[in-house]
Amino acid sequence: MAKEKGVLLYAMNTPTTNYGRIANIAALLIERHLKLPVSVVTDDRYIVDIGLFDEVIVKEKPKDPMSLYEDRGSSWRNKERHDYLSLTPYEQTLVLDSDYLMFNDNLLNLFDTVEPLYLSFNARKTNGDPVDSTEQRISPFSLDLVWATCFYFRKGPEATRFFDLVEYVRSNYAYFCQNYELTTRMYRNDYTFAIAAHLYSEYRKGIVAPNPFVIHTAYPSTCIEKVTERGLILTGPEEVNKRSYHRDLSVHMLNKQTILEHYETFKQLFY
Amino acid sequence: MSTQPTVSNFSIVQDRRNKAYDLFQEKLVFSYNGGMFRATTEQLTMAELFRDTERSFILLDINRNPIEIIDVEDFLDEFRETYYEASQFYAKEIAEIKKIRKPEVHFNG
Repeated sequence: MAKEKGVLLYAMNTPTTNYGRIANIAALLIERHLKLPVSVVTDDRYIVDIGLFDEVIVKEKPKDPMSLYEDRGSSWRNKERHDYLSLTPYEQTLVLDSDYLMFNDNLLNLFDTVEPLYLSFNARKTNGDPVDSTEQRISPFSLDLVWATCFYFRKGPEATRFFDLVEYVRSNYAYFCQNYELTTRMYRNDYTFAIAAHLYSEYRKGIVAPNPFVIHTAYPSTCIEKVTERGLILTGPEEVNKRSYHRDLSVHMLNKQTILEHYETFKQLFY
Repeated sequence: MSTQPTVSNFSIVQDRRNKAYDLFQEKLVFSYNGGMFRATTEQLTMAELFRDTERSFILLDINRNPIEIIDVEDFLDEFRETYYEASQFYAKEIAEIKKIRKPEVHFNG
């Protein structure tokens, strides 16, 4: 029998980034703030600290070399992130990117509501500005972007239908790129989710419940200067006065290397 | 005498105020009986309206779902608790921010 509530992370190492370690940090933070079991989907069980996870779900390594993407100095694999429904051991699942560093328990509110699905439509930079225009919409005259960084679903017909559509868009990505006038052919789950949500809502807006909590995004130029029990001190050109303390604020850190540089500090503070 | 704003901690103060307000807004969200609510005066007024009627009533949550509130007192307890915590947090933050404000350096004198 499936367990009631939990969080699901993905960790697929790339030649430049140790996602296993980043997932360890995410698990520690989730455990501290949400007090929910955390499972991880990985292609190599030895890259994560097994003791931190409720379940380590091993998926075969993708054979397709095209599944590795590189941009702005980091690389990632996300094309095989679509089978959430069959992999999750939980009835109610919150799926998070490993680089979403949690410092509050707000997302607990998503569980136990009547909504079967919450998607994240709202993101902001950590300095409070709107995210770049390329990340507000999937293309200049198309749909609002949906951030696959953070979403929630409850097993049932609605989630099944939605993830069937995600898989449908993923398998016919070139067609949908053209149809929705995407300017890049680079695969992004955020685009797939936006298109799937559009199809799911029968081409209307407002059918899928929006996650009421904004995703605060720190761009790749932003680094972690210090980690404290209550938040992060970030430095970078995007930050107000180039240095800013984000207390009690969960942050989506796009700069993976800076997370890894503070791996030991995270372990000391949250283990 | 120039009245041009100079480099000061104004932007830091403003940034912290904005962040505190954002967090305050996030902390006002609470879930109850399958619905997700924000502790606003509108919701409070509706709950107060039905407080003494001993009837259940329907309240729309932030996703426009009709949620039946059977025990008004219990809902108000949850509301109070959420609002109290959020407002205490916000007041504490603003008090701290006031300490670091240095309005005298906002202008060249």
